[in-house]
Amino acid sequence: MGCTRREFIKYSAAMAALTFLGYGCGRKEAEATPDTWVKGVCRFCGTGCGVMVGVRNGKVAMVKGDPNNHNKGMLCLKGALLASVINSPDRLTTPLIRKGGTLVKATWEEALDLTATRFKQTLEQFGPKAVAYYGSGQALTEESYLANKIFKAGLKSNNVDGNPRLCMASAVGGYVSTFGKDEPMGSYEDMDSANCFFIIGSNTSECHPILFRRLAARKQSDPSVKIIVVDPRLTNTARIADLHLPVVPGTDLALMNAMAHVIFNEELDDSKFHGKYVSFKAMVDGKPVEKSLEDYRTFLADYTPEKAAAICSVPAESIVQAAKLFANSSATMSLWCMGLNQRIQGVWANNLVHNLHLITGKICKPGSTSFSLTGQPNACGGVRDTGSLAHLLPGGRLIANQEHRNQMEEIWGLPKDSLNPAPGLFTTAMFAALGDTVRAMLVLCTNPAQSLPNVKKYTANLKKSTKFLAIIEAFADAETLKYADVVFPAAFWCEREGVYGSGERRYCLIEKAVASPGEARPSVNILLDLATRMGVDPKLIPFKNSADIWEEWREISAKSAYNFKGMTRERLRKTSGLLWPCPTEDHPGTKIRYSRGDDPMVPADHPDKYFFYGNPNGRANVWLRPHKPAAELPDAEYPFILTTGRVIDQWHTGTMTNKVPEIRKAFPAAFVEVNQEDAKRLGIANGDNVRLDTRRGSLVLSARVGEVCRPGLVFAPFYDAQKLVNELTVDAVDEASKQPEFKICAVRVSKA
Amino acid sequence: MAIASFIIHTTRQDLAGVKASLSQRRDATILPWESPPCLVAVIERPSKELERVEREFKATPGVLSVATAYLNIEDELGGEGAK
Amino acid sequence: MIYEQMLRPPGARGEREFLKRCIQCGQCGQICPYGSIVFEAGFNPETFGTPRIAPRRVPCYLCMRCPPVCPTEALLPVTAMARADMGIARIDKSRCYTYEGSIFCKTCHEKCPLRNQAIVMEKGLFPVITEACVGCGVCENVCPRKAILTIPKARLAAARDRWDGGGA
Repeated sequence: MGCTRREFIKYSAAMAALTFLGYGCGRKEAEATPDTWVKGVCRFCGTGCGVMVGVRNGKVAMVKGDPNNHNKGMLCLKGALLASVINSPDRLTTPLIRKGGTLVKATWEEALDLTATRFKQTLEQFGPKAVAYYGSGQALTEESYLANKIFKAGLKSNNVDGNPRLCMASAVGGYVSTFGKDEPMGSYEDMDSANCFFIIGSNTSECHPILFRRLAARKQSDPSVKIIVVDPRLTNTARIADLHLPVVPGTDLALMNAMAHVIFNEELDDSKFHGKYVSFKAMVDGKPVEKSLEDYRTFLADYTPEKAAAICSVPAESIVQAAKLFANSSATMSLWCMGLNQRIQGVWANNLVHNLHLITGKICKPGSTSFSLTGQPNACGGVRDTGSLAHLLPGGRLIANQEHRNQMEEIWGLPKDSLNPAPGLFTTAMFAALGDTVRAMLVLCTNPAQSLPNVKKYTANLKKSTKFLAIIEAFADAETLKYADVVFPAAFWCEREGVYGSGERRYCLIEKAVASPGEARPSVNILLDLATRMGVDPKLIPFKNSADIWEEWREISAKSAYNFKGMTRERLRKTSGLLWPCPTEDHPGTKIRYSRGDDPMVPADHPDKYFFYGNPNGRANVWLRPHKPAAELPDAEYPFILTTGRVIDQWHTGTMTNKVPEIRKAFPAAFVEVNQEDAKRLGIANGDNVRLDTRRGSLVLSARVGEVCRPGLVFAPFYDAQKLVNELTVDAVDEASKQPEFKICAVRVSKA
Repeated sequence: MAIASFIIHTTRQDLAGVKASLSQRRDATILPWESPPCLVAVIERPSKELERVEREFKATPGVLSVATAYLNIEDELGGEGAK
Repeated sequence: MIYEQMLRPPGARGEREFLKRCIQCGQCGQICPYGSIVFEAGFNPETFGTPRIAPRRVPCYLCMRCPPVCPTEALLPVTAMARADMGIARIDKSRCYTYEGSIFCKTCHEKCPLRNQAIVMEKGLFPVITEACVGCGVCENVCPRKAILTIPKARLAAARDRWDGGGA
């Protein structure tokens, strides 16, 4: 026996060592050699990095950067770890129906029938205003285009909105009111030739790491490149800046008007450019009125650097220096994101960035451009361009414009004047009406129960029994599932084929690499099935798959400034993305819009070099926008400002990034960043629990004390579903863009 | 007597050589592993001597590192180890 | 020897002096809110029951609650993170995603309790560990590539002794 036992121990000893080798290293090496590589686009932010998906045994084994796309093979950590997301055990694999308060498994027939019946009943009983679709900047272009068409043309309901309302509606408003057409005029390539970067309201380092890398590399290669960062936090972006302006949140309008003031005062403006290509405008009694250069200068006279310095709480010299750096460089590129967009003056703030470029002529030239960064991978291509918002129709058309409606009626083969002429409900209004005037809602590929501002107010409506909520979702742990009546399991990312349009107008095809798990189906097929059962005219939806929808949308685009008729499916399959306008199949795509010789929409024989064809007079608008403060300012009761945002490895509501063990380990729970001076005063040490109270709710978070936030400001990320920071945020919206002011609310901070 | 196992890291080139030299030991059972290039050595020696054995492994030409994976000294608790 | 190379809690004295003073009372482990401190098992009576940190399991988050509770000042009663003096982290540049050049990762920088002092992003591009690093092990814990190793103070001292001994 003794011998056998000792043998057993020796065997155990050998197994202990071998198990470690077998599971520790051997498996990894096997995984690292995929059978095939399939081209696609990263699922995360709006940078839209090209990826190559490595498939082994029908599963995504690994993801690497596409060397032929703009990211030149680089990815950030999130993108590189996408395999863990798609292979997550938390994927939804069967339809679910709520029965007796809990979601139970159901068949596709049951789920589709129930949803179609409830929508049909609602339409019959309450009319088209009672149904709604809430989409996403993460859905494929084909999905958004189809849903938009089903609801607006099929059901005659304009209640079609989406989460881009929360993230870039103000950027749309800014581009449209200044240039007449949406979307930036430049491309990421401008980063390689810009000599000055004006980054305002964007933590590029955390939120768009690959673009940050590109601009950091640009600065490293040429020490004369200057970076100006305007951000109330000393972010990692601000740390590489030559000039950091930690302004009080919500004072950017005063800052940029003061910069314009300095530019004119120092005669750094480009009078040749703004004399020829710019018209000055102001809103008077709610109507746009023509103004002159003199009016503009009189308006700016009020914004001396000293006055702005007092409002923004930064030195006047810094403002002067920023204006000089901006105007004196050979090429200036502005970058901004949620810091400007998620504001009740979001559109105005966007206008003022464009103003700076227009008065200095630093626009539509290589390296000179005003470039809005995007948070979601397909907000630009999928939602903005297809017009899947409550006030839009495809190709930059407006619902309120009869001519635009008639164009779309003709294109879609509808009787004249049959489209609903009243714009639908925008995001917060839609959720506010849920259960009341909106009775049935379909949500695609987004998680509003976590991402809406002042979210408790809206989840109260989501709980109402008078509403019917169907969602198309890939993950079983998304917060919104708690409120859904029907859940459709969706094919995720490269489990189906479709187009993503990134922040630089680049359309890129995600090819199908693997099969979806269980019974999950592509959202396009779910939408088509639902539409058919709801009785939508089959002539409107003659599609079998996303390629059919792309063909229709591509043809339609030729009748707008978004013209990408040259981007056939075949061509997209061969290339790593193309930038529109791209009118013909031999057109290489457009890097600079509004410029003769670059933009195919500007006639080759146009008399002027630049042509802002979006506006009737061919000129861009410089808007006179006065400074206005945020909706909720700190006071004696709530003395701090709370701002929200992202951390590097987590993305949005964390339903995807939390599937990655490496990321979950590094960023487990939300925290609150407190300035060290404030912390000392309040007796808060690093790691202490801190209680945040706003007028809407309270939350306890662990403190991260440091110099990042300016005094009087606290920051919390919104990825953590256990700590819903959006229960604290304010839901006041920009009057023009209807985008909520996530970025600023008053808060009380105390040690818990 | 104690029983222990060690993971001995080496390079692909040296794997055969290290195996040959370690196989000469009478107290060790050697199992080679291709990927990553490693050997597992199961050793039967009084625990007091194990550190010396580890040093001997480390001193073997071609060995990169040595890690202990398992140690059982149950039998020494009966007094055997004190001998 | 492996026993000389343990990562001790913040404020620990030099290994020899630490072992003399540590009475294995376990109070540092009790106050630790993160469960970072584990007690050494094994058969060496000198080190059995002494506190250590295994960064790959749970690193030290430098809350600095443990040094003041040590009754024998085996841990010096320091409270400033910058004075934790546990060791130093090193990045294996041949493994690190960012140095390797295909993935732009800065998780270590983001999670460093002494961010921008102990780990700086050189020109915004590469994480670099500076002399201000106190060896808390957070970066080692979060590194998705396991490319960081925290070298305990004791091991640094041992290496120094070897080098000072004329390269013997």
